[in-house]
Amino acid sequence: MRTRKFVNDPTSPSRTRALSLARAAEQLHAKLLKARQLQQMTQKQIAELQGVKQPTVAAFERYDNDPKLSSILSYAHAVGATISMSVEIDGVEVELGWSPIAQVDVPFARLGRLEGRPTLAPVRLVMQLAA
Amino acid sequence: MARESRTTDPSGAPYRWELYTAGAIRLVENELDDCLQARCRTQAEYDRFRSLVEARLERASHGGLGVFDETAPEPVVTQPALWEMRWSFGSSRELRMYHAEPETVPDLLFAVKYHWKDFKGLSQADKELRQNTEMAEAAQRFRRSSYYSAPDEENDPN
Repeated sequence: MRTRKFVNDPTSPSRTRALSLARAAEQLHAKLLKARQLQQMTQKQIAELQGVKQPTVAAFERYDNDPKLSSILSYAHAVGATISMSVEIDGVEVELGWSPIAQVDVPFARLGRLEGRPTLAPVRLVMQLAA
Repeated sequence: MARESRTTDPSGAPYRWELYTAGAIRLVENELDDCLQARCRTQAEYDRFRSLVEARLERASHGGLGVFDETAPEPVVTQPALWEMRWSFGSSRELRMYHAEPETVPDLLFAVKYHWKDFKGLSQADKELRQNTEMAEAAQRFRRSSYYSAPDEENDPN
């Protein structure tokens, strides 16, 4: 007689949520690999951009890899991709009440006037575009 | 020459999964459940692991497990050819599944065995013995199935 501690119910909210997350993970990984293919880049080129060895890229690309978020972002950046993310509860997106901050670089501004001589120095202007 | 697994070949996708049964007993389905029942600590973990298995099987059915410019993995067993799929649930929990791809049924992925690769504390020789036992059982199940057709050399009494 098989002992069963846990219920195998594919329709339970926990299970459907888990399946959605698992599918998202598989899709993300497969799409990143597809991005490299579309960009016609080699593992060696990706490795050079990431500052790692080619076998590290090969290991990342294995389907049974369980990569860290930092590895995912690094690989995405190297293949020239961005990633869109959405966190939802029961289909409703979780809102933070703030939006990403846009940074505008103003490369040259006059500083140093107090010293009596004009100098050029970079200034980074940070703007919050939306609350 | 080893054939590329359908799980890494999108050109023939989608493929369909079928699980080995022994008569009315859903042996492979039960085996997966037994594996997860034995190692999961909570219902939520069971649901997560089960879903990770399912999502990867879906990806495989689309031929999506390969890397476009990498050599596809070879079968882990030959005569009959069986391929291995893997899941890692943390460093100490690695699930393995063996499947066949009968040449007579071009859209089929036929799952024949699940097991945990958990050989901690065993010697290298014992690890290999345990792994070989699992693969031998998987091969035996495939041979017992209706999808198996023996190659000519196996039918040859000489």
